[in-house]
Amino acid sequence: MIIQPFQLSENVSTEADVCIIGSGAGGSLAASRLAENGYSVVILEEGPFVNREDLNQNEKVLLRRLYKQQASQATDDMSIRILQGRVFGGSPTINWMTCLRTPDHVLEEWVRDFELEEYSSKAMAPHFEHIEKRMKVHTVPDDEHNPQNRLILNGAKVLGIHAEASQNNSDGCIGCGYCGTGCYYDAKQDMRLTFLGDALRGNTTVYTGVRAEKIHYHGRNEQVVVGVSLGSEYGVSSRIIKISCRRVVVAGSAIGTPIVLQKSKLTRNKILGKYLHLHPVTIAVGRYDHLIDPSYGIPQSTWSEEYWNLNGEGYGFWVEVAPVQPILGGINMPGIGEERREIIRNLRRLGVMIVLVRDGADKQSSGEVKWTRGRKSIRYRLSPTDKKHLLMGLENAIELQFAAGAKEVYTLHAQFTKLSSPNEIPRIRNLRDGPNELPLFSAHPTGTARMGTGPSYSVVGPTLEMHDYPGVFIMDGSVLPTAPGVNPMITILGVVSRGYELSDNLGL
Amino acid sequence: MSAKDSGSLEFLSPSRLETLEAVAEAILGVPRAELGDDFKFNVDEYIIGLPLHLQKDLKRLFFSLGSPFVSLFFVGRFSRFSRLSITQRRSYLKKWSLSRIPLLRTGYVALKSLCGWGYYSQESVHAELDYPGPTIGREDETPTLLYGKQKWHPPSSAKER
Repeated sequence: MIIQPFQLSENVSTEADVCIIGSGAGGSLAASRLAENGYSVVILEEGPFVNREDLNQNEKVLLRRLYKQQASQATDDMSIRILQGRVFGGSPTINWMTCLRTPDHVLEEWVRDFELEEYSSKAMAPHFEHIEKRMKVHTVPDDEHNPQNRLILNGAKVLGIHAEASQNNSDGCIGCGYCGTGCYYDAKQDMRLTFLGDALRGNTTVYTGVRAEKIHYHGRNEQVVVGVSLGSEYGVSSRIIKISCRRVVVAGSAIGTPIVLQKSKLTRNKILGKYLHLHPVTIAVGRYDHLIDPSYGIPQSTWSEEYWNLNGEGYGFWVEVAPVQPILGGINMPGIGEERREIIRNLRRLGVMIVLVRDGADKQSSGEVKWTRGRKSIRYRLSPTDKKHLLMGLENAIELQFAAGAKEVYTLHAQFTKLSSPNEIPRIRNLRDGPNELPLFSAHPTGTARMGTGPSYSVVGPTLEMHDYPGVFIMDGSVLPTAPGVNPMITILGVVSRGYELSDNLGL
Repeated sequence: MSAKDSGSLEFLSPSRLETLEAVAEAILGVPRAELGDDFKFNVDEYIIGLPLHLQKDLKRLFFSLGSPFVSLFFVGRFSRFSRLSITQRRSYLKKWSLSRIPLLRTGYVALKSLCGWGYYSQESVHAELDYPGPTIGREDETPTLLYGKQKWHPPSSAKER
């Protein structure tokens, strides 16, 4: 059953075996497992319920409606824009469908540095297989790459580096390109059509448009979650929703989860909120003589992971492309005045390559999420090695663009930078690249409640139950011990699936 | 003309609107008269949807921009931002974007985002970009995998999926 704010005529007080905060990847998978095993579940989802007809490709309406803070969420200094879904089904509803398994070297690191033998490649394999089957994950066929994705394949071939097709979770995709505002065609096998749908076939109720405000913790088997419906967004009165339950699953993302736990004062563990990883992104924009049409086609179907391991410990960068529609392009393109307008006028001839850094190479906490003075605070600074990898990645993306035939390449430096040949790349080494001098992006926040065996360096154990608050589980990207080094959806699902199995139905 | 009138703006007072349009002209390279009927409404609606603490930050930002003293500091002219020439406004904003003071760079990024949102979220701008627009109902006309082939038909019932 799905309940929306305008259906609430009074405050609600109800009971369930489990209350789940957040209907994204982790929350949906946990809900499906609980429902399959006969438990009653209530999910609180802050974002709106949407179905196919709502996802009408209106970028202006949907960016505001489906994204956290109208797609403007950012670090406190606005130097890193952090895109996250705030919608029924969470970020998978609005992501670009890339499905990559956690690399073996990352899982080996978790076993080695976090004593997580339970999460070895061998132990995780059946979980990945099950998830991929349910979500119809497959390698994108060669004849379905759009011109923008071909730039990576073509550029890599010229440079003699590795690039290949990636996997996605689609069935019957027509390549409309609007994945970022949800799939009108119901081709994307997101949570709504998979695990959340499975959960709803059991004893599951989802309250959408309801923000979880507080968890009242009274012991392992006795907890109350209080949420508030966001009535003003729906033109109705707000209501209070109280769920008495035996277990709580917090699945509000690496940003939302520490916030609700801090609001609830479940903060005995002092590293909660720390070790935020973002996979920081910078961009190289190529201008071509021919149509690229970066707004259309399967958004991400190729990638180059040639420089995945630059430090010998599995840290480096990879390159993908990003679809660009008028608003996000209009906000983020570089330059000022006519030079800027001219770049955007060439939208259909632009190829946008993104460089994603697997952050955390220096093994320090680069970022923190905190609820302070009544507001959310996100702070993040690239560590020296991560910064080095980012700048190397930018140079690589520029080389790829020229190798693929770009006539000009722009970076996003505040100091407007247009390169006419790869010989000019050394110029960018002298540019200032601090916060907002080289604007960054992220769509992959993880960490902040990381998993490990000891409470001195982790918030949850291998079963994803909080060390300090038995009965409270965290099942989202915040538990990843280190950044996964690939688009994180499959990793989050795999970890939650494995953690749920280890927890033996959350110990119910 | 838009059916709405400026009186329905919630955040953008007349002076803030004057400042915003002057900023947009400088950053976007679009003359004020060509910003479009919905530009100001798009920005206003967007700001009103932000958390209150960010709205307060934006009030401070617009206040600073409107101050002749700040203009005096950045371009040597005691004048409201909106009365500066386009060259002076651009120079002023470039100084913010490249400033050693992080807060000024943050301010510039906020202004760039707001102006970009206000202008490029108008459908009327699609023609300027030669942008074909949404694919719904035009699957065979836009650069999708069905381009030049056949239209997509929605399944008649959930069962078919």
